[in-house]
Amino acid sequence: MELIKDVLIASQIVLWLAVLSLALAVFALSRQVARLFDRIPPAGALSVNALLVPGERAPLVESDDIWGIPTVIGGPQADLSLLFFISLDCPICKSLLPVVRSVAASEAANLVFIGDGAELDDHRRFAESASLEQCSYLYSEAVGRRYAVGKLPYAVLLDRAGLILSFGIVNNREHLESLFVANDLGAGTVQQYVAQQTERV
Amino acid sequence: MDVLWGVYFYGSAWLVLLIFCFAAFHKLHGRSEFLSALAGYRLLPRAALRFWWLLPIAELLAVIELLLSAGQSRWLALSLLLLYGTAIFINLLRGRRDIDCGCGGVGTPIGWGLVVRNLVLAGLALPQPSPPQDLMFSGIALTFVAALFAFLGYGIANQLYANSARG
Repeated sequence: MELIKDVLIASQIVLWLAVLSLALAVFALSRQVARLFDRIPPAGALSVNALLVPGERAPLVESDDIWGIPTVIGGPQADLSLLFFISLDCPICKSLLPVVRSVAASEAANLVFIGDGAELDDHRRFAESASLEQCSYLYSEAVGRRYAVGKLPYAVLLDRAGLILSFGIVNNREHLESLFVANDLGAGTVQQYVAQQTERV
Repeated sequence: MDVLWGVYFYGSAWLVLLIFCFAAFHKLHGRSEFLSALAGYRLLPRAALRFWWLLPIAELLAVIELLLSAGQSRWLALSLLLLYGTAIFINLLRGRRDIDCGCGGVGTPIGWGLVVRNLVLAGLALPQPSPPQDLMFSGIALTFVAALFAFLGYGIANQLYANSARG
């Protein structure tokens, strides 16, 4: 009887260690899955746009930005234009800020933020706290509508002639970079780019 | 069955305590994220947002309450869990699904699952009679591993929930 009791107790201890180890492994796996979701663009969700067509002229917008500086979107420009649509309620938009700035800088594109929702003052406050005083930042729901922006964060890339190069929902650096690469590869949307990638693989 | 009662009583106390420690730490450590999540709920007037730190302080007080009462008094924990659940509930009724919950850890948009989660946790924080007998050493060891497993399970559930919102 004593031996059985000892074996049962030992078994319990071993089982608890096993269960804890498994729980730890499952937790680690769930984190890995989250990182995977970061890297895989959702099929078909990226470039739904009712109005924009790659290769066509971008809607021309002339407006003062939140710093009072007259800003023009579309039409002939000195550089590529990267339009980044955000709202203050969107946590991914905010976490992407440094990434967007770094991508725009490395691709030598002119970065324009377009924010809507809340009040102008909220956006000014936010832009100041995020050190965006040197960046063009428009407060306008109308521009979002003219560019048929649905889900955020959304980015649109324009060329120097004011033509639409590429656009789509962006969640990470890869999505943003793919907007530029999509253009290089002759694919106007991120979905086409992804399709080309998977074909190649 | 007194042993099971003891394991549940102390295990649930430890689980709630660990969860609140983690929650308070995350709010204080990532204060700008928490602040923007809090503002996103649109339940407080702008002027009140300055007092955001009252929430993590309340959470720490809930931890202290649990410790000092040896798990018998859980009122602060219960109140906070119901408060947070209500805030999420109100915003879900408003139809806002894109705001971050501000719960800590991974970015998680609010959803009904969070309301259910908070109700379950609130159930753990309900006032309950303390067990009649003290646990022996083996009972304490069992409670410890059970609470540890439950805390891991809580983290897994949260991560899976956050993943499901994206994948």
